[in-house]
Amino acid sequence: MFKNIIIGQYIPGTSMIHGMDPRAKLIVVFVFIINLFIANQFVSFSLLTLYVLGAFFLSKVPIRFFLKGLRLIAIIIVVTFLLHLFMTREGEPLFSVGFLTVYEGGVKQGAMISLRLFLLVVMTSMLTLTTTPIALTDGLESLFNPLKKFGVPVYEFALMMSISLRFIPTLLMETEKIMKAQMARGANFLHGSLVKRVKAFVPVLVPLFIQAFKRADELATAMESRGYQGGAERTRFRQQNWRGLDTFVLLTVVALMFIVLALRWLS
Amino acid sequence: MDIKAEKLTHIYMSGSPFESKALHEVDLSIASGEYVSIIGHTGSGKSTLVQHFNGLVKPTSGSVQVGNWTLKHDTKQKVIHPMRRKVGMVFQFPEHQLFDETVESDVAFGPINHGVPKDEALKRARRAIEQVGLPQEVCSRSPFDLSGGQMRRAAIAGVLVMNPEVLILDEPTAGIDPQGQKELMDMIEAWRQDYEATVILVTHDMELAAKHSDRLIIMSEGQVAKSGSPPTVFADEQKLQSLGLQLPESLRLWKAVQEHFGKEGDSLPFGETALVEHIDGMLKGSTLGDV
Repeated sequence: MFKNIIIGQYIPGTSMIHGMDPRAKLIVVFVFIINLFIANQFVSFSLLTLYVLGAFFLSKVPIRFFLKGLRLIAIIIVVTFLLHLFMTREGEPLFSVGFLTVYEGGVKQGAMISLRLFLLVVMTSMLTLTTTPIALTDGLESLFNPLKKFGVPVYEFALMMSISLRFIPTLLMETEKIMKAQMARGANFLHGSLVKRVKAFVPVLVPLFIQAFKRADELATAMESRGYQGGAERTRFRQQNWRGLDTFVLLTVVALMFIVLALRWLS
Repeated sequence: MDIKAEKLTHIYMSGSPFESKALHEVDLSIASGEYVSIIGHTGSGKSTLVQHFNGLVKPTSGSVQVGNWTLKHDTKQKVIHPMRRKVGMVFQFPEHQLFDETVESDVAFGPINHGVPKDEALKRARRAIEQVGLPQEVCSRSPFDLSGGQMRRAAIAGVLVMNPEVLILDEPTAGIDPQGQKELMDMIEAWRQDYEATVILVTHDMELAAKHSDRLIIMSEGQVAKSGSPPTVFADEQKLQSLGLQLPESLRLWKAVQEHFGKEGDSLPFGETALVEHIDGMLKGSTLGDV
């Protein structure tokens, strides 16, 4: 039922990218996104595309699985492209279909924005596909750690995030189970008018919420009974270690930033 | 309704890195009116197998024949829908599917989905609530006010209300006390005799399976490892052990007692009462095991 969504999914593996420190991956992706928005030249975009392709092949994520998961995003990208194609009125008019005229600027802008979007999605999925949600949370927590000095409850946020991430698969499984149980009693989620189909979800949502609240309550009790206290100084079970490789990858993306910046100035 | 699976294979998330084979070319048939137990470890494919019987999952390859319906990988939802009325399925922890404001309207959910008028559906619901041994006064109460055991009964009523010809029970006794387990199984036995229905019990409780069913089907790694009446299945103790399964407790004790007194016998006791009678009979020197 939820087979074709790869956003937020993690694929176990032993590739070079899997082995990187989550903090390094987070920073690299962040810098890369900045690069995407600085870039305005054909050469810069080619370089950025190559960078993403490199990351993709190094991650060893199966390509068919990846493309399958991109279907939904592809629709958004195509729609964006078409909107820019027809709505931008800059440069020479190229041709017109009925009342719509396509301008040179439209093609350029459309291509640029959709490529940006595409690279953004691929790069961020590289991050989530190769990093466990828990490692990602740990990474974020240690990156935001300095904010603690300003009274930001970093630890509590990280805990909230890891708990929610932890329960996404559980909730999905539960949803599927309840849907099956109601389908066995003749519920129909696929046919009928939109109103009917939305209504058909009430028998799924009610039990789902009840279970979720119950589980939250149990988890809270379990934590309380073990004397849990937020922010207590704890050591970590999963140690993060920053290696030479992480520094190297970070340097490549920073170098890319300088190139893209230079190209922008020179143009 | 006879059920027949032919070369039934099911692969979860086929074509992704998470691909896993749940069933591999399973052939089996279950005759109308039979009481069959499907036993196996977690992950042996037993739940996946029974979910094929009412079309909750479709085969990746092979087919399942249920009465006049044939389920294949490309069977349309429209064909499956009427099939679900004839094959009732009680999931593990069925009380987790209760949702409506009152017990009777929750129980009536199934018949209403299958086009029974509301009044008639509620009438049937009240009858089903009685069948599962709940007092009539719970009809108008919220299902969430009931006790755990009562909730389970109410949820089972929600399946029995459709008068299925085949009833599938997935670990029906999980998480309830021994007394409640016995009552539940007796209730199902009584219902089965009234309606002459086929019952398929999915469980890992050997004792429960041996006590109630005519036939045991043992699943292991997506295949049928052994099938037959309880005495024939338990006769092959080594095979069971190689599958990581143990004889029912009553049988183990009976064998030990027999060995201790140096006696032999063919009859096997399933459940405490039968065991006590067997041992009693043997010690009094009556014809051995002939109880």
